[in-house]
Amino acid sequence: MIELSDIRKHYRMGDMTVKALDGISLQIRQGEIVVLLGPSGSGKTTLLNLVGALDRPTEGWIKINGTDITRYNRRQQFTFRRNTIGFIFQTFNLFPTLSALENVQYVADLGQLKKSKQKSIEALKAVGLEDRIRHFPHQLSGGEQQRVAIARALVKNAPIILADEPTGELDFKTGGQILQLLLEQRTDSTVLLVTHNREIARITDRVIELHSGKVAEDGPPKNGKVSIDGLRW
Amino acid sequence: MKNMVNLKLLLQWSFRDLKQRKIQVIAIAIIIGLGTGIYTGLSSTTPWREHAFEQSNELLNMFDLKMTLLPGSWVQQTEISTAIQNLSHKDSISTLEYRVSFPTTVNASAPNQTILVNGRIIGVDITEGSKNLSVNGIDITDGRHIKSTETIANVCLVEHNFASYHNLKPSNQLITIAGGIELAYIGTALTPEYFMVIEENMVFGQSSFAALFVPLETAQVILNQVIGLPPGYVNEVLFLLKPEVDIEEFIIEIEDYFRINYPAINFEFIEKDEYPAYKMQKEDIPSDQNMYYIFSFLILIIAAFGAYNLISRVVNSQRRQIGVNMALGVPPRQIAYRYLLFSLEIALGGVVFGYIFAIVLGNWLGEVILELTPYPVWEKWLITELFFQGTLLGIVIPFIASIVPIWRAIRMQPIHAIQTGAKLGTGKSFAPFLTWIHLPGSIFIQFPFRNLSRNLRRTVSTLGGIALATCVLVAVLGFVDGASLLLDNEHEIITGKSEGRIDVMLNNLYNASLPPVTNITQHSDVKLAVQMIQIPVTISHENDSFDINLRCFNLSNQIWTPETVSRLQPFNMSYGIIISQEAARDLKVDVGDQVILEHPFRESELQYSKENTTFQVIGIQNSKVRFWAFCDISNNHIFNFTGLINSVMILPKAGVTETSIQKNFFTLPGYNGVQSIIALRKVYEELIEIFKSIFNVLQYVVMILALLLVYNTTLVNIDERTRELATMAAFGTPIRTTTWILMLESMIIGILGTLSGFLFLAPLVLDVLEARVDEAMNEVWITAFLYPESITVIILIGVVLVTLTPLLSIHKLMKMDLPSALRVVE
Repeated sequence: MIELSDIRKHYRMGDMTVKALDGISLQIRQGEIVVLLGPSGSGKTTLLNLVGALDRPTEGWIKINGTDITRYNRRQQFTFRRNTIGFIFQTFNLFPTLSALENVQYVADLGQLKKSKQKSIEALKAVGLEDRIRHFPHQLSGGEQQRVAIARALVKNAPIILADEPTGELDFKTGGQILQLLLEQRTDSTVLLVTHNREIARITDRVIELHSGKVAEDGPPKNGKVSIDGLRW
Repeated sequence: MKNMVNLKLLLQWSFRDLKQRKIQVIAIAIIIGLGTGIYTGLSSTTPWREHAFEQSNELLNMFDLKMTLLPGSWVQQTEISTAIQNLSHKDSISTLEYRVSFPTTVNASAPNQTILVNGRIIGVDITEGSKNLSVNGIDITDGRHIKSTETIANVCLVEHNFASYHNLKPSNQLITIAGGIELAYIGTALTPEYFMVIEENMVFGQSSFAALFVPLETAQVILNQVIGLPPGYVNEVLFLLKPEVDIEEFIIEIEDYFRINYPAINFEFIEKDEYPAYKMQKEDIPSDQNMYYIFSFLILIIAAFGAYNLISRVVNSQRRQIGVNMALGVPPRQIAYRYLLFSLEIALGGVVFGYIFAIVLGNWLGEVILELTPYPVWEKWLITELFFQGTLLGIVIPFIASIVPIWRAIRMQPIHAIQTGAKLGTGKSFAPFLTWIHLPGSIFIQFPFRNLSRNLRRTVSTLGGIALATCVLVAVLGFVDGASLLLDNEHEIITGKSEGRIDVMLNNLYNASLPPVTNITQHSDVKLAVQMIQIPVTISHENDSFDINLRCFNLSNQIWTPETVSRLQPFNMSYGIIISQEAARDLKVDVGDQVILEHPFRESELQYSKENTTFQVIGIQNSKVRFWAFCDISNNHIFNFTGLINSVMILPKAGVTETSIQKNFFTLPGYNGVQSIIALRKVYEELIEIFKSIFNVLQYVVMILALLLVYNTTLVNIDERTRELATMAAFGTPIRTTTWILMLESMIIGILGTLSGFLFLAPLVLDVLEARVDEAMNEVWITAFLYPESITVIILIGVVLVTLTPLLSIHKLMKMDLPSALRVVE
């Protein structure tokens, strides 16, 4: 369970105060897939960063399974991320000097998984990259790189997956495949997916729309839920 | 200029680039500053030294020519004065001084310290006071001059270096010399022949040699008391010649004149340029400058590597901006200007820092030099020409370092330059090849190797910098240790199995079986004694010749005999000469070869002549000091010394120290001091002191350079991998793990750099330096060597310090703004 209470995140920019998040309160159940929708600058990524303990709110608290992560010190933040969070980034953020397998295994080793190499190979197989495991990021296409990123996020069965515009760098078709993979392979993980694409938002039961740092809408997609195959790419 | 963005904008833009990386820029400016500062600072001392050397010698009228009677020879002043008056070249003489000069032993002990050393009494004409000596003048640094009224007073001026070393002050202190004669110490004298203390044919330094200046008549009275010489005798004439005089011609005339008119007077000439102390000071200056060039060159290359790393990183991080500029139609030349301006800004920082460092270093070194060779004229000034060169170097280095990265950047196709994300080709290069290499351990072990291979140019340039730093360290420590090893080895070679051996010198030749010799050989402090002759000779073979000290004694004695590395077979000790390895190397001879010795021949009690005798080299001693040579005392007839000796090798009884020997022998007639092996070591330590001071500075500079270079590379790496490091942090990689990876990278660079410096660069530099050291100190054979302590220092700096450097950048990792860093796109 993810609980956010009156979360505010303010930045000082010269004489101005920018309110990236301005009083957000939410509850997300374990295993739920939630899309954070909104225009650029609405606070989607900021919210994702706060849930991932990459940043601290100016006010409010965030509880994950009852524990307030905003009170974590730096070391606890690192441990929390290592054990609880799986990240998927828009620009993939793979380690360029590690092969696909090593990129996944890195996170598996970090989580001290047993048989980390075997599990990493399985994760890559699950995303259809069994014949590309020795390849380096620059030898892979954008879609393949994002699949590696998904395998990396999923390999340790993280309870929470945070995906920031995971299809932003990809064409629609590849993006659809990536989303499908993510949803198929996630087992029981809670997924928070940031996008500004309304069509993508339709794949889930719950869409939280942000505007100027506030929750504008929270509910099922306006145009109804569809399967990934039913998206109008 | 057509299509030119205005200069103000370019300046502002490049200044912003600079501000963005201010720590790295400061680090590089310091590196460049250290490089140019070392060059400018060290080199500044050269004109100061040249000026001080020339002006001081001119101020105190250093002799042009010194005429010295052979040791033990004396002549009436009136006789030699008449002879000189009769020379047809007498108009060539500007002025001259007659002197008495003879070795003695000096007791300058104060209540709280015992100072018993060898020395020399120099009697000078004080008709107009010691202040107005016309040749080899005296500058008083403490106390007062000898007045013209003190003609036969028992007063003396103590040579400055000796007084300064022992902190002696002319305050009612009495100096006692051999024979128990007491002299009042009234002043401290600085004089050209002892600006640097190198006693001819003896091995003494400022700590162990006391030259005492006394009135000429006083010296003659002392001689009368000590060896019974009648009054009026002298043994030295110092000439100051008129400009344009042909010295060789002048010498020939004197020699011819004396050969015909005074055949009994035998003497030798030494020209100013050949006088050991003068020659060494004069030759030291350009020789030291050559050393400065070598070290400055190496350090400047290190600076160039550092500058290259930073500028290539700045250019590389802005490849997208370059691509956008190109897409906008900005000419490549104009894009290059911005980065060249950036280089120029770094250069200016380097130049400013270089100025500061040069001034500090130059002043410090100037003080060290002045302390070691105290000149009465010593001026320091800003050497504009050098600072201009330093400025030029400071500008040229980053400029050259920036050429390659800028050239590569502007050759890029815009389409490639503006690619991001999936299409961005980071991680190419050699990283894939490393997957073939199976390294034991987890991904965390693979990471550093892959990272190093991703930007091979930067890795190589950092590695090159460390290799050069190691090379400088090896060279610096190698020669300091080499000199220490030489001293250690010589100590062992010369002492052999008789650690306490002491050579006691006599003030004249004495019958070996009568007092004063027997007073020494049968003294209650002496366990064993061996009669010895010590005699200065010139050894030559073909075109090579130099002065050595020949020691003749029974080569099969019970105290000590030289060990040889090779000897003539069958070995006949009573025939021939044993020379050192260094002498053999310099003369290019081996056992069995013939050498010629030019040596004194005793004509009468007060007269000596010079003769040449051919000796066969019967053995080569394992010594790297060419000064010593040995032959059996049965050769004494060659010098006409049969039955006579002038020194005794003794082995004191157990518990008897050198100091107690000096004290107990001091009042014995004929005793003229001791020469111990410990003193020899001290002298060489004094000689290399200036080198050691410079080398110590270089050692610290290199340490700072290595630290800055790696620190900078680490910052560049962190900067370049911001997004990766943020991703690692996002997945929960602890900062200590990230730091550990960075440290492992540094360690690999450190190990490879240190090894490369050690194995590839150092041998080349050492070759060049050995040749230079050989030129500068040709009487000893110093080869580079490293003691375990120095190897530890090199490893500490090259590997340990370099490995630990990323710890300095932890703050950067801690302060990293993860959300922003995760989105960094280059």
